[in-house]
Amino acid sequence: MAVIQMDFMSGALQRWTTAQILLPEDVKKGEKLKTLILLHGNGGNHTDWLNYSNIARYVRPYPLAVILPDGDNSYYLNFPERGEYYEEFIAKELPELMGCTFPLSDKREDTFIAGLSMGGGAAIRMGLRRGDVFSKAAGLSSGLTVQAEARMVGHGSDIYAAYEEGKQKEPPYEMARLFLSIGEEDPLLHINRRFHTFLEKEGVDHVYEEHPGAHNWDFWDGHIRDVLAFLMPEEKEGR
Amino acid sequence: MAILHMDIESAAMGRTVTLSAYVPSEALKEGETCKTLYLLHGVQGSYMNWLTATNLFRMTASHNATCVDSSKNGSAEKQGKRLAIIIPSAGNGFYHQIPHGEDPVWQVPFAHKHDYQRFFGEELVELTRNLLPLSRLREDTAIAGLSMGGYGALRTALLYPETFGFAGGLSNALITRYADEARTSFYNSDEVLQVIFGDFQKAKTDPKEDVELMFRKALEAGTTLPRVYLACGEQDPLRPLSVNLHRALESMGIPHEYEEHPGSHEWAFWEWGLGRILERL
Repeated sequence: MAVIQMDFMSGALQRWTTAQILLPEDVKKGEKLKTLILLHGNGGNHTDWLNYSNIARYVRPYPLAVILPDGDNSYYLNFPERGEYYEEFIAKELPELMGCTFPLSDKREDTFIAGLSMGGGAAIRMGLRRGDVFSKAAGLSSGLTVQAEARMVGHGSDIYAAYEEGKQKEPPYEMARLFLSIGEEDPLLHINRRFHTFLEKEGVDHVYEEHPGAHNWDFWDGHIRDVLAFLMPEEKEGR
Repeated sequence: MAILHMDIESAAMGRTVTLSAYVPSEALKEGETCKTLYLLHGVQGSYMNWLTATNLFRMTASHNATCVDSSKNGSAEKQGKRLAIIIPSAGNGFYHQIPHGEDPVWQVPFAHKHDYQRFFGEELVELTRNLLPLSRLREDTAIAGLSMGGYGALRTALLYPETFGFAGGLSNALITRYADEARTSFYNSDEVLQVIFGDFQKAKTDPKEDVELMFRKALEAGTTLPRVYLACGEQDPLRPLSVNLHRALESMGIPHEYEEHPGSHEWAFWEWGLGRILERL
């Protein structure tokens, strides 16, 4: 496992930014890896998943590159008034730049997004709206924001609006397959449950799980393994 | 240019090795590969030295800007490959395979592997080529270093002439040519060199250890040699080592460049030398 810190200039953010990358070292010549963009929560940064979870250990059996970007407290939305386009950064610039730097597949079926809390909400939102890039999207304790949250108004954060946007795109557009998992004591339980019920009514194929636990790293460290199994069920035994 | 700080698990070294890398990520197209310079530090050094003590970042960015001619005639036709630089930490091992055996300090079997030689000549090259957008061609692959790293770069290039098309040595600490009384620091004391070389006295005349003898042997074997660039500071106490190697190569008729420039065993000189090496890549 190579653990990499990468500093680079982002056009979408108009500044230098930092990402952590986990790469398997036994990449064969010409092999193209699957990619997971894994998002942190509010108040965190690109180092969170490495510092507070065992992601580097859990990902070992998988032929998967994990990209951990820094999303600030942006909810990974576009802010034209600040010249910071986080959704563009995550869904377009980052996969392209990483693909030119590391041996990554550029295929939709090999590109995934996941996150926790703020990052979980963003992963699900981009799964709906950027299904052209991501084939699977997973949210742990997802902060599924709705239009009523005043500070996000006007930046496209509403998860139901994102669903409508994805639904209305012309075929062959497909939304990403969704995975949502949340703790029974998590204050976000009800907005997740409500969204799950909504998806069921709409007939959208997805995975929804509730487990004992709260809005904390015990839950995220435990259930990121479910996310990896969801993303790459064929690799469960390792390679 | 992106700056990477990588921790990799090395089988040859039996440990995790830290390296920094400069990759012109933002400028690359899908599938585009770079020339590579593996850059080695001196004793007591690390992956940070070349970055913090020189303007390597700015110099490499300028170097890469000249790879693409986009302004003169409006076309973005490439004149050459862009350059990536890989700078690993290498301890004080003289880029050598440290033999297993009795550790003279701890008096226990020297069980941990520190095969710097295989790491730099094989594993590092293969791994960085697999993980990063690097050309696999010999003519696109260079190795250079300062002081201990100068010795390491020349020796590694001669051990792996099919891998490296260019070898650059600055202020070369050609350890097998040191007079015994000149070896006054801990890292070139008898004890340390005994750990690194096994039998250091024997290494002095071993055509796998001594750079001059390695050149001679390669010449006799008809090996395709890398392009060789040597430089030393005019005030460097190690200057006679580089001068002697230069003269020996001249007498053998081995093509190479040798330059001197004002300066001692110091970063101002090595930054100048880095600039000269970049011009040759």
